[in-house]
Amino acid sequence: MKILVLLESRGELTLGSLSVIAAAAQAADRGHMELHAVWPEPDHEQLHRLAGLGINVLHLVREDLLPPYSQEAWIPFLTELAQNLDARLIAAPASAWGKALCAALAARLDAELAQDCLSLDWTLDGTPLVRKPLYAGKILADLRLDHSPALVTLRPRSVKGAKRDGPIPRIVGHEPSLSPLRCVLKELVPLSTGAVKLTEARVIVAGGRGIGGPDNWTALRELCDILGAALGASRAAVDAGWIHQGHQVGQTGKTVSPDLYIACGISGTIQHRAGMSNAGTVVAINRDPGAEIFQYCDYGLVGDLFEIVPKLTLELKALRGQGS
Amino acid sequence: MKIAVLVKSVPDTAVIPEIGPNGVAVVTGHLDFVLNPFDEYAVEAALQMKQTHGAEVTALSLGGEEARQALRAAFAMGIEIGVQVRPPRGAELTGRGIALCLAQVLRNLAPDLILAGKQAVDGDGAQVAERLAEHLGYLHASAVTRLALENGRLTAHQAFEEGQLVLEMPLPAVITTEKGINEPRYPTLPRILKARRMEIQELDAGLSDARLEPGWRVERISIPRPERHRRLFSEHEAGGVEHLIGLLQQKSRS
Amino acid sequence: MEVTRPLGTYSHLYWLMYLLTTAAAASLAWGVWSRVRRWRLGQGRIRDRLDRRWSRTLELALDLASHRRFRRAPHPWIFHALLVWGCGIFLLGTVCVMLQEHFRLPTFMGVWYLLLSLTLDLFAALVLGALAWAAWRRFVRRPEELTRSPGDGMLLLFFAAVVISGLLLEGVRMARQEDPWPLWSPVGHWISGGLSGFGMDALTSAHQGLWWGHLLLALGFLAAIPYTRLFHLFAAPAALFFNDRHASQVLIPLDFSDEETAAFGVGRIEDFHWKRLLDADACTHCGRCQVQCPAWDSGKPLSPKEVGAVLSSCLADHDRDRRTGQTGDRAASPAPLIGAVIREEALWACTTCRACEVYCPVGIEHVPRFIDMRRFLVLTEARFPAELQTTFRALERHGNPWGIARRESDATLKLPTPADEPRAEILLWPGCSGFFDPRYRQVIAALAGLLKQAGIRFAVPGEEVVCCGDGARRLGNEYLFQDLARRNIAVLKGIGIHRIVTPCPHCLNTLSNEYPQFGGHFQVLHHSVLLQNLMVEKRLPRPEPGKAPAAFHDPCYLARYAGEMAAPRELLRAVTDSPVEIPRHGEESFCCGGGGGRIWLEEDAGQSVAARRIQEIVDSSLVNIVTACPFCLTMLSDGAKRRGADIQISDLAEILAQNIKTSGKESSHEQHGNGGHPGVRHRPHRQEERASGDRNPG
Repeated sequence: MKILVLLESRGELTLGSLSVIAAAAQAADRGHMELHAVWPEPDHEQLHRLAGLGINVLHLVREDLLPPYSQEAWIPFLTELAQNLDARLIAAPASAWGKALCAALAARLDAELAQDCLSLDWTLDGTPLVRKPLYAGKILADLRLDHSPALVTLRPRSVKGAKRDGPIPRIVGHEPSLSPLRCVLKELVPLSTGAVKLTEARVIVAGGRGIGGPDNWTALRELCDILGAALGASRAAVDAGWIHQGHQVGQTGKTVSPDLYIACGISGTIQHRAGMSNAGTVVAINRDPGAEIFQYCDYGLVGDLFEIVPKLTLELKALRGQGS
Repeated sequence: MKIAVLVKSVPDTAVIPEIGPNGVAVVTGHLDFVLNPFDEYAVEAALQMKQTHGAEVTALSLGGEEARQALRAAFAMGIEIGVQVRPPRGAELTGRGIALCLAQVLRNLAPDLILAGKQAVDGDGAQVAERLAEHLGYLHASAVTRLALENGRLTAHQAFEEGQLVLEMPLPAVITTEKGINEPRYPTLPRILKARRMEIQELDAGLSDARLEPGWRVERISIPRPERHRRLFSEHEAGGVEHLIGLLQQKSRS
Repeated sequence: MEVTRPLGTYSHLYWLMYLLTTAAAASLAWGVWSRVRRWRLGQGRIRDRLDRRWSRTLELALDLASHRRFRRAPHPWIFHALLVWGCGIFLLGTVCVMLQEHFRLPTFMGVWYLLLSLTLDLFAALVLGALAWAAWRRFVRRPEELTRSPGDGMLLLFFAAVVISGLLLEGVRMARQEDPWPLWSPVGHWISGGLSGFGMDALTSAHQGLWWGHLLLALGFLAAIPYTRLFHLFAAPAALFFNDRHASQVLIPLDFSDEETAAFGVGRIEDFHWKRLLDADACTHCGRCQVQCPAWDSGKPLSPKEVGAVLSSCLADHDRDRRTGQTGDRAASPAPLIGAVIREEALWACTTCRACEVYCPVGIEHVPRFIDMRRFLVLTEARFPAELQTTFRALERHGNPWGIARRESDATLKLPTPADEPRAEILLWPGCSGFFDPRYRQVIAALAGLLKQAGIRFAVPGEEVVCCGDGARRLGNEYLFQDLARRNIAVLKGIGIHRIVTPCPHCLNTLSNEYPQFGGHFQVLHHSVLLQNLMVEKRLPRPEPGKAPAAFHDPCYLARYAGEMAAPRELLRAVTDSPVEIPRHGEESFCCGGGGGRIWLEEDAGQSVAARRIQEIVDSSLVNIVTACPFCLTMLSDGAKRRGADIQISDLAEILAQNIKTSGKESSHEQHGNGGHPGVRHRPHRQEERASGDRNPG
């Protein structure tokens, strides 16, 4: 039996994809499965990164045959591949691409799909087990995916302890025929602080009274750039006229729900909290240890934001430099 | 033009659902139901579409009494036609089953555009609309933050991790709505009261229980520990920045 | 010889006099009736305001006699009192003459006559003085808030002419025929002195002319009342008589049972309750409300005075259209009130602070009419500032205005629930701020500590309670309010503790005054009252008062809605040796800008209300401000921060707890401690203090 993993790359293989490989490789080991992977946008220079991770067979499609980001193009190909392999489980990262693709694929395969799973396991009798959050994570369900095939998307998690000593994957090339596409990609608007809407941003860096003046946003903007984050502001900063009202997060500003919210020099009064109480992880940087925001953040740093924020930017830049 | 909006009632998100005595089901009977917030964007998008292009908008909801509540909420916002799709008795539906049931009805309705929230915030299944697109042979775009129709072609801005894909496609299509696409209207009270009396059409999905049998079993339901692990670094305490770097790396690149 | 004066000089022409009087009375009656008729276009029944008839009458008499509603600085009141009292005396005198002359009752004889004659003369002089003062104020000093119209001068002259003609008549009478008691008519006597040179014939014709002239002027004055600004002579007492002291505290609930209703709230002038229409006509545009209005003061497009004026003219137009037969068209497209007549921004600017009502001399219920119109905008039109949708949805879904999920925060209150404390005698109602505002949770912690210290068994309701609904109701979302209220009442009845204490004056008003409308009867106390009682009963130790001066900022909903100004001051005296007052305090306190749901709205126009209050505090060189309302605490703290003012704003409970703790420590550790470090201090640095409190790094 086989597990099929759908990989995703944006310039390089995403962290989510590596995380799915790690989880699937572990499951494959336990269930004595063969691990197959599809890489839609292969970068031949990066092929070596997939060696040893536990993938047995790597399916590559000849470049230009199936355009990236086109679900319409990929769904028929993947359906056929999954059917031919008779895959027991199809796993993908829980990204926008992975989730939408798997939903469509599940319909074609008449299979169940569990989205956004936190973990993947395998019973001794060869059945996949997943842990899926319900009610925005307030409840966790352990699901036993009896029916074959089954699909899961997995949230990224630490890849520590991932397999390194696996085989070099066998590469299978595909040349699918493509019927004319009806849905066309007109444009890809990349993230930049200017373009990310606060309400849609997954990461927000916000400044408050601690910014101290209209000309002091540079440090925050630089951090935004490297994180692909949107720039937010507290009412205090907006009222002081240091930044346009469109950036205001709070009761009377915008209500945001990013995965990560970094509050710099924001005291965190209830009106501000009202705008960001749905944020995932909250980081607070503030000179005043008594600031209210320290009562409801996940990580708090007492200190000068003009020291800490540039330090963060610098280190992230260095790390990113190494990565590529 | 015909537009279908899929709506669902979800338990009031403010309240924590409880686990049933068997440990494998969530008890929702005691909860208040509200219209799924993402579906509100879909309803609003449909109403705006109707306003600019003229359309017959039908809201559909699958289920029993709570489905009627979702339809009434859609009526309150301005929808005029509501269809309750009744699943076979006793069927416990997964995303797969829901899509199969709705596809039965939608095939007859043959809308040009199907709108739905990007996911329902109870089961967070995030798949019914895309499945429907496949069952009906429609194109689809998920988690759309901007939508326009011009000369019979849709332009949809689909959010993804690194930005936005601007997609253009002909009708018929399925679009799921993401926060930010619009600001759903606040219903007026006369409309809310009128919605209580509006007629709801009822249709049977007409599928056998066996066809809809879930392909998985719930082994266990649990409630994660709610407490956040608050970590504070006082001034000049070592490790703060390093800790943050790790966190930022993980959060910003998934 | 009878002590009186000669009457009946023109008795052969009394038929003419009565004819004229009847005409004037008819004019008066018709005018009044047509006004009353147009008030009856409004909603509700006359019976709504006919309860407590005796106390209403008594209160009205007191209002008129004492002018107590006028007597608020900085507005002058004595001249108006003289005019009112003068009118009363003149009326009395005239009636006495009539009774004497036609019914032969001894009402113009003897000592009574002499006293009456003297009083009439004196008041005639005083009224002339008052008229001169009024004219000077209106035309020379010209206070900004006072609406002036050209007719005003005419009316003052008219009034003066009535009085002067009466005095001249008396003078001529006394010159013609010697009066044996001249000193009892001093003004007349003085005038007669100047007339000694005239012959009898001239005096006789003058007397005749003045007699008829005075009669015509007086009757003309009466006849003109309903058609001029003088109508307030009738409407103001009516507004006072029908005034409901609790109109703003307890709003009229809307009935949602009829599903066919097409409109809720007030969208057209005739949708108002009849008392609001009477109020619109009773307004004299004196502008006291405008001077005290925090919205007007901070540059918002709202003047309570102007709203009254436009409603009155809108009512007149509508009434005229109805009578001239344009009803059909209007009914088809009802005259819109909001937008066309009243600006939407004006409606949203009201903080419901009730300063206007406290200052209004004629008992106009200002606040409810704003809420009536807000109801129309929210319920019927769903038209309101965009940011309110966040608040409404948050209240609907999460039961609190900030939309914060319950479970994240509850744990940190760490106070006994009714289940933990089944024998609880008091339910501590923290309000939304108490549950969710990290700053205000410290107040709850302090209050809970004090209750524990006093040995009171209390419990705090759990996640099943929602916002009391004050904000929703005053923002016009009555539907949402009733839903919240019913949910809370059911939960509170389930808990079964009927004594409730809350530190939030808004919750206090809603729970105690408005929940009874929906069957929830609870005994609700503000924490200042409870703490004060505990101190009197010695269940709480009396702390060593601090040295630094501190002032109490009266929350609107505590001082003006609940009338509680004493208990907070008692507590303030317990924590500081030098309690001081902000210039505007007590019932005349100035709003923080957060009431009536304003705390959830942007303050776009003008300055912020809080900034105005902070200005007043800074100007008074005050550093320690104590208050007793979560909104005041938030708004004033924000205002102080924004200005960069070093002002310490705290809640009574915090200050008290802190001082008791410090005093306790000192008395146990240093027996002769002099209370050197009480909670109220010079330039304190609270932030650092708080940091060591409930936060636990790591």
